[in-house]
Amino acid sequence: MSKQSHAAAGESADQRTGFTVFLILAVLTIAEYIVAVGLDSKVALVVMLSVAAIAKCWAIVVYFMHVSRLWRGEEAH
Amino acid sequence: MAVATHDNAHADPTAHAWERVRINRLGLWLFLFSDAGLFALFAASRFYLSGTARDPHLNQALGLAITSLLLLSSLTAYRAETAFVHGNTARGRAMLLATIVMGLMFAGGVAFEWATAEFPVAELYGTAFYSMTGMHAFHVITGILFLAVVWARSGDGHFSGGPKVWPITATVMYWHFVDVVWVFFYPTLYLLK
Repeated sequence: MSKQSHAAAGESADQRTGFTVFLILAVLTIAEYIVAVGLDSKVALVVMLSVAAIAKCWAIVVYFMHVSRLWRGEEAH
Repeated sequence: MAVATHDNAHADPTAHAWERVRINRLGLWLFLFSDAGLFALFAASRFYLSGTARDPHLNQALGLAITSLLLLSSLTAYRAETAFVHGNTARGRAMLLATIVMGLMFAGGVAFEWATAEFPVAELYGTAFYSMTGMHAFHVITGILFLAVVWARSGDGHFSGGPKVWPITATVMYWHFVDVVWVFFYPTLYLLK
């Protein structure tokens, strides 16, 4: 495989990861909205919104912000 | 071991550049962590001032719309970074521009919310709402400025692969941080009741 096609394949794989993470974020956001509109229990709402927000934060920090590069290094990517 | 690595980094310019990137990355994470503390204090003050209650006049459709925009801008920022990492400057620049446009639309949405909101800043919820969205919008605007700078400088092949991509990565990381803050602020301000 040439260097250029290798780079294109790598970019395409990264883009797929980006779309998957975005899809997860979008689904969680819509779920948050639906739960907030439909749920009357304050405690249940706080718990569910907290879980959704932490999950979204984790997805962004791990996949978009590449927190693992702190100990792994970017050149190993 | 550490001394040997340091010596190797000075012997090899690329290894030295990567070492600089590692140090810069650690510094950026420390900055973001300290900034997160500031936002956490804002969120804590919202619960202290007005509990979980929210104003019934909040524009929920606008809140969901600007939240979706910011999430989408995180995807375009990520695509910009990966494009630059893989040497695809044209796509990277286009994605940076898309991120800037969506950032401006988000800031415009917040400005519209401020202009049309039916609750005054003097109310407890209003104090929390305007201070939290105001501080966040300030970060959005600085993020847009950073994105505009790297977009303008990326035209002459300034960030062509390897450790040279770091300015793009750092700017995009800052943008994702702004998104992470909103991930918590959106339910805190708009959804809790």
